[in-house]
Amino acid sequence: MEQSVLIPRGRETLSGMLYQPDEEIRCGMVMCAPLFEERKSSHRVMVDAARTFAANGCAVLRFDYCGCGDSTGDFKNYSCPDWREDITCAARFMNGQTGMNRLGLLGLRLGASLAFEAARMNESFDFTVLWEPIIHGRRYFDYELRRKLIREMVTFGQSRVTRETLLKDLKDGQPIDLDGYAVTSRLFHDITTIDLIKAAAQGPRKVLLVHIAPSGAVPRELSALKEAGLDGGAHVDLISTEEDPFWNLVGLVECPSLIEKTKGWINLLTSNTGQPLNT
Amino acid sequence: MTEEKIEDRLKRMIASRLFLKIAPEAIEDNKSLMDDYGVDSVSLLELVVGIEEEFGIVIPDEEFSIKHFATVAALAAFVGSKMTAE
Repeated sequence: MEQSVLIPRGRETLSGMLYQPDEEIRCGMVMCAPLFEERKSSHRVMVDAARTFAANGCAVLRFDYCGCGDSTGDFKNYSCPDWREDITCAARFMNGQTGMNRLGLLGLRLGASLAFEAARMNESFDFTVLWEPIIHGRRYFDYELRRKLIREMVTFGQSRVTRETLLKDLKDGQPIDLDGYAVTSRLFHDITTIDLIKAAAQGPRKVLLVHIAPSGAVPRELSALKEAGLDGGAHVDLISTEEDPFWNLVGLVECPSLIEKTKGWINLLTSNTGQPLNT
Repeated sequence: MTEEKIEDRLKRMIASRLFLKIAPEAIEDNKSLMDDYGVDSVSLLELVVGIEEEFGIVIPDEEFSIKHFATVAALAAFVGSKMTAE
């Protein structure tokens, strides 16, 4: 069963979709979307994944962060700590709706980094699934700025700004437009200080890291994140799936392998043994 | 390195990095990357990053101009000039 839901969140209201299994619920999961262009490109795969997980006994809540999508609020008033609180708020709501205490998080890209932090700060989350997390925020933000320049190049024939001028605006307290989102100095700071490897020693306890690419080896930084988590005493599995980076593509993209592998890991985790897949 | 080799390397990279469902040799030098091969603003960023890695050059923000990315031939000339300069 699918239903749209409104989640009270202080003065704001989060808009979401709740997917409930028709039969017994084995666990619940809050899905954490990425931001900017990646949010738009990944939307349909996230919906497909939510439906598949729900059909497999896992209740799923997808929602929009404050200031994003259909949720209330002005984007420029919010940043990463607020969205982490949104995740916790969404999980509380889900617990109230389903009565399910065994809750996990699944995030993609920046949503994965937010999920990582939310789980790190709240040990009640049972598991955390990270699809291609942003490990170093500085590198990611630079990539997003370049994406803006290229969009301008395609629209106007030539980029009209440089990264240097954009960074100067941020430094001077002026928001910049990134894919229609007003990025403030505060958000810039919060994103560019993301360093999951540094934080992994006190990170979430049961983690599935997923590398998604049509070919090639697992990036070193993802392996380093796994090692840092293991060093901190967490159970961390790292798997690859040979599919296209759907968050970066325009058009119809399906990711059956990604969804099935994730479903398999959750199944093992929530089975009687409670032991995650060790791949 | 000849310009032809740059073009071949570019075609290989374009096909693989942008997940085009065509063989590299099927990409024509003077056909529009955007109109004929579906390259868009999202995949162009992948192309820029790929070119910098493959050819060891840096494409400054000031040089993000559509004329350099219009065709494989234009891109090869641009990459060749950057390699010479660096």
